[in-house]
Amino acid sequence: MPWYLLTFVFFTVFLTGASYAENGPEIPEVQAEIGIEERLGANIPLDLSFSDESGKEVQLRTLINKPTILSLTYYRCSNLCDNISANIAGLLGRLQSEPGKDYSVITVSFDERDTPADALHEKEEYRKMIGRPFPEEGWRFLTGNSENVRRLTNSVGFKYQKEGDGFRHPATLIVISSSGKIIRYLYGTTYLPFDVLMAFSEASTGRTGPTIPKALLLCYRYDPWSRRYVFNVMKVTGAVVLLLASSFFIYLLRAGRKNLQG
Amino acid sequence: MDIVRIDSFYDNPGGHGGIRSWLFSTDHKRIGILYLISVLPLFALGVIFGFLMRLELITRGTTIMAAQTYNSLFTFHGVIMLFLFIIPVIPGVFGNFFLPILIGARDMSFPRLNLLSWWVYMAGAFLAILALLTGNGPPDTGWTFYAPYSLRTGTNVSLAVFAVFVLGLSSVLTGINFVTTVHRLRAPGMTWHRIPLFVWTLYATAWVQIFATPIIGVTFLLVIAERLFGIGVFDPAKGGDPILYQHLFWIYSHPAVYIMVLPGLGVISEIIPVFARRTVFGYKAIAYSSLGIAGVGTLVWGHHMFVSGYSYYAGTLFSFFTFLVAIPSAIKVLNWVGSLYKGSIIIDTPFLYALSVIFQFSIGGLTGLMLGALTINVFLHDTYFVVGHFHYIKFGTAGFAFFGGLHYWFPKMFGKMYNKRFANYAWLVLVVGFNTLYFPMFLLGLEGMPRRYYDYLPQFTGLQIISIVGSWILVTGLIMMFGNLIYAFFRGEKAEANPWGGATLEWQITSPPPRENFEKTPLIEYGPYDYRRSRS
Repeated sequence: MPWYLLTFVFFTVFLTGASYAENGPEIPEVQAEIGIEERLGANIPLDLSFSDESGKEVQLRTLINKPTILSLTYYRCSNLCDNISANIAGLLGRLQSEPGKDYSVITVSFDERDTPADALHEKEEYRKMIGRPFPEEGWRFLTGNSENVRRLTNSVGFKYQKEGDGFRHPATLIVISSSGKIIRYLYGTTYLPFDVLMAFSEASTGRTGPTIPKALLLCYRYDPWSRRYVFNVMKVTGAVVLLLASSFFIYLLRAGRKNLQG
Repeated sequence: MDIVRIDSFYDNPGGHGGIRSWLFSTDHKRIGILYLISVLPLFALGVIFGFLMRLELITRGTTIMAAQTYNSLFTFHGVIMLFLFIIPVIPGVFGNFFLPILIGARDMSFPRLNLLSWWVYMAGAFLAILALLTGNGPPDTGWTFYAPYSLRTGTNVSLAVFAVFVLGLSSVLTGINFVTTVHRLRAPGMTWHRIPLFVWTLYATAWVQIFATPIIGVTFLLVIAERLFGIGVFDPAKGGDPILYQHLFWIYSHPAVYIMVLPGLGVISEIIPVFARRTVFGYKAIAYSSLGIAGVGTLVWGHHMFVSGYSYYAGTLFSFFTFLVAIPSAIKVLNWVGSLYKGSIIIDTPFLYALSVIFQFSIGGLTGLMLGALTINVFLHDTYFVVGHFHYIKFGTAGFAFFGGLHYWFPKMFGKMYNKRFANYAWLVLVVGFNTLYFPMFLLGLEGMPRRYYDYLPQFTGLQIISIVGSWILVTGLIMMFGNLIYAFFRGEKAEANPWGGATLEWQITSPPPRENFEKTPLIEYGPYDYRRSRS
C-alpha cells in the first residue's frame, strides 16, 4: 500500500531532513512579529506631521480630504518595495477615476533615515512609470521622524522590523476615507483597479470593506541553504511515488492476464 | 414467452437482507449503487451552496450573507463539488458498476479493497462535513487552500485538508483496483484494442490517481504540520516558500481536472456510437488520446501560476504544454463528430446529453486555450472568465456526461425505464439554465469582475442578474431530471435488457444485471462497437 509507506517515508525523511537543517548555516531565529493586524473602521491620527518632498512640514489632515491610498515602504528598499510602488504606478495608469480630484495617493517611508531628497527622487521615478500625465499633488512621498511613523503604522496595524541594514515588512495598500477612517486593506504587490474602485465607492459611503484576497505577502530575506530539507522531502517522496507506481506497472505487465476458469 | 427469472444483484440469497448486505457487500454493482446514493446528497449540498452564492449577488453589498459567510460558501462549494462529487462520481458509480462487466469479468480484482475505498470515502465525507460544522467556523480559503493564508486563518482548515487527505486515500485505492482489474481480469479475447472506450478512460484516470494523489496528501500533511507545530515550510515569515505550496497543490490538482473530465469523455464515447448505430470513428485515436491527455496533463500545472511571480521561462514552457494538451482533447471531439457522419442517428435522451457535452466541452476547451496563453492569462487571471471556463469543463462536460451516463445506464442499473419525453424537456431546461448561468461569466471576466467576491461594481449588475436567473433555471432542470429518475425508480416501466441496442457486454445481460455477471465467462471475438456482427 504505497500510501502508508509514503506517510512513513515522509515522516522519516522529514525528521532526518530537519536534523540536517540544524547543521546548516546559522540564521538568526526570527519572530513572526511582522504582518498586518487589521484595524478596519478605525481612524488614523490626522494630526501627524510629515515632511513632503520639498522638506516642508505637512499635516496628514491637509493631505487626506478625499479617498486616499496609503502605502508604507522605505525608499532604499531593494526588494518588494520597488514592486509595490511600480505596481501602484501601473494601477494609477489604468484607473478611470481622476487623480487629485476623486482620490489621492500617499506613500510614507517608515525608515527615519530617509530624507525628503530620497522622497523626491522616488517621486520622479514612479511618476514617470504611470505612463500618463499625473498631477504633482496626486501622489505624495513623505518622510518623518520615528515617533510619527510609529504612531501612523500602529494606527493601521502595520508591523515591521528592522533587520540588518533593511527591514522586514508586509506588503499592503490601505484605503482611507476622507475623514481618516480605514476602509480596506489590499494585500500583495499587484492591485486590481476593481478592488480599488470598490474601496473608493465604500469610502464615499463610509462603509468598510472586508479584505478579500488575503494572501499576505511579506518582504523578507530568504536563505535557501537553510531550508533545503523541504526540497529534499519533496524530491524523495516524488521519487518514491514514481518508483512504486512504475514497479507496480511493470509487475502488471509481467503478470499478464489472470487465468480465468470459465 | 416468459424467460426464466434470474436473480438480479438486488436479490438477497437465502433471505439475508437488510442494510448490512449493502454496507458490507463486496459486489462491485452494489458498491456502485452505494457510491451513487452517497454522492447525490453531497451534490445537492454543493448545488445549494452555489445557488446561495449566486443569490447573494442579486443586489450590491450584503444581501443575504456577509463576506465571511460568502468566503466559506465558495470554499465548501469547491471542496464538495470537486473532492466529494466530481472526482469520485463517474469512477465510483459507473466505474464500479460497469468496469468489470464491460471487460467480461466477474468482479474487481480486489473486491474488499473496493469496499474499503467506499468506506474511506465516507469517512472523508464525514470529516469534510465535520469541518463545516465545528471549530472556529468553516474554512474561508477557497478550495485551493493557498498558503500562507491557509496557515494563518483561524478557521477550521486543518480538519478540512485532513478530510481531503482521506478522500485522496480512497482515490488511490480505487485507482490501484481499476488498473489491476483492467490488466488482469479481461475476458478471453478482450484484447487491449477491444476494450470499450469508457474503460480506456478509467484506466488512464486510474494511473493519474495513483501518481498524483500522494502529492496532495503529503502537501496537506505539511499544511497540517505547519498549522499545528509551526514548522516553516510554506509560510514566508518562518522562512517557508508559498510558491512551493502552489506548485505542489497544482501538481495534483491540475491532473485532478483530468481525473474529473476523462471518465466523462469516456461515457460520451460509449453513448455516441450506440445512438449513431455505427462503429466509433478512430477507436485507437480516442483510446490513445485518453492516455495522451493523462500524460501531458501532468506537465501543465504551472499554467495556474502565471501571475505567482515564478520564472517567465517556466511560464513559457507551461504555456506550451497547455497548448499541447489541447491536441488529444480536440482529437476526441473530432472523432465524436466523425462518428456521427453517415450514422443512422437515433435521438434519445442520452444522445442529447452527449451533444450538449460536445458543445460545452468545445467552449470550455477553447476558453481554456485562451487562459493557457501567457499574456491573456495575466489579464484574465482570477476573474469570472476563469470561473466560467472551469464550470464549462467540470459541470458542462463532466457533470453533463454524468447525467448522460445516468440516463444511458439507468435502465441497466435499475431495470426500470424513465419517461423519455419528460427527460428530454429536463435536458433542455438544464442546457438553457447552464449556459445562461455560466456564459455571462466570460463577459463579466473580460470586463474585470474578479472571482470570489460577494460584491461588485454597478456596471456589472445586468450580467450578474442574467447569470443569477440562469441559476434558477438550472436548479429547475436539476429538480426535473432527478424527479423524473426517482419517479422511474419507484414507478417506472420495466426496462428491456438492451433498450438502446448497444453492442457492449453490459447490454448482453439482463436488466438489472444478475448477481453473477456472466453465467459463463464470455469469449470476445470482435470490437465493442461492431454492430453488424453483434446483431448476427
